[in-house]
Amino acid sequence: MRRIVITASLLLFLAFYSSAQNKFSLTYSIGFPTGETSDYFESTSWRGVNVDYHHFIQENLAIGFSTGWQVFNDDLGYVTETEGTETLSGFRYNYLNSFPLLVTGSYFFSPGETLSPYASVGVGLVYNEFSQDTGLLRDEVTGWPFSVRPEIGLDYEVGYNVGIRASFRYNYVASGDELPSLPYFAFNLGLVWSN
Amino acid sequence: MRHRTLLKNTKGFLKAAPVALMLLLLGCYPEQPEFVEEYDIVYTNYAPDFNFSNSYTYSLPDGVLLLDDDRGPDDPPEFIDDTFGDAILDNIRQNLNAEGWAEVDEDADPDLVILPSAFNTQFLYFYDPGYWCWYYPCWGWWYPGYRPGYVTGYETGTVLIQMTDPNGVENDEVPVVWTGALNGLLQGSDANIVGRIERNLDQAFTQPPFD
Repeated sequence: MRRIVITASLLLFLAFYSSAQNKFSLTYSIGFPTGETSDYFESTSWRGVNVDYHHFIQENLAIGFSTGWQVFNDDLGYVTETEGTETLSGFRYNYLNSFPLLVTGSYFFSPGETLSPYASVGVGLVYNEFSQDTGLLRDEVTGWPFSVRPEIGLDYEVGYNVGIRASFRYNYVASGDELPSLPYFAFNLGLVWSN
Repeated sequence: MRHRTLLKNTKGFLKAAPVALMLLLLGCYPEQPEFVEEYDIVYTNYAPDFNFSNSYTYSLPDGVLLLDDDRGPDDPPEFIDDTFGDAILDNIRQNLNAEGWAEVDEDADPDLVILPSAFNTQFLYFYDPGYWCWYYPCWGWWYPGYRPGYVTGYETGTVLIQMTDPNGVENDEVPVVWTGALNGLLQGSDANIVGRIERNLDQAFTQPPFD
């Protein structure tokens, strides 16, 4: 029974995969902290990568998923914090590792053209690893907050099924799991290809 | 023909995509502190009901006690190297005198007895008080109104200073009215470590309740 289910799933996947056009992208991402994120990080994040997959269910419309990794870090210098009778001093470094796992819906305004603008919305969860290091002490919180991510972008075809993608995203990340809300904007530039 | 050429390029390009991904992922690791002093921390805590603004007499031992798991509290006391011990004692003395406090011999009934110790294992604010039996009555101790516990476990160096109040002894336990801990990596030259200890001790005496 299990074998049948696996085989059927694979056949279904292959049918799904081969019956329509798919688009993939690999982009470098620059993140800009906003909202509560800028309370912890003043610096732009130059460390980010995204992997996106679109499966076209209509000529203009695609569903897919998106994942990636964005790293914010900031050197806050020497910090002294007092809580009650306790005081702790040391050099403070903040780190945020953000891994979105989103289901996406995308609309391509002129598919098949050399220039193909699109708009997309992603919904899902983000695995956030947020730590505030003071000297050797690490105060780390991890969690899976909810995320919504609107995006606009442009695919420029430079070769047969291969192109360059530029996009701009707002990553809304809700608070939760003891994590503050940690939203950010991101500009992405990279490669897009389709089968 | 054109398509074929482009497709060939495309294949090479697609082969490069995993490499690009790996490079991008490797680039995601953020920078870490560069200098050993950036790992230092200064932690202080105190009894909220003790009045630190008064002028007190205090006593200091001649050395900084070495706490070592391999040595029992009944064994003869061992002290850390004088290079570091003297720097620690001199700095404590300077900072307390700057508060208007006066050092006296431990036999002269000081208001406060300062217990400086050091260790290179975990933070041990509840270590066996028997280590100090050579210096003053074999009191246990307690932390009135607070509990020092922030600094925990690394293979690092820690200097722990406990300020005890012999006039508050109850049931053979002396209250520790102030606790200061410096924690950092045991790396660098002696001069570098001494410099870090002095800077961090100065910081400890600028933190509440001494600010």
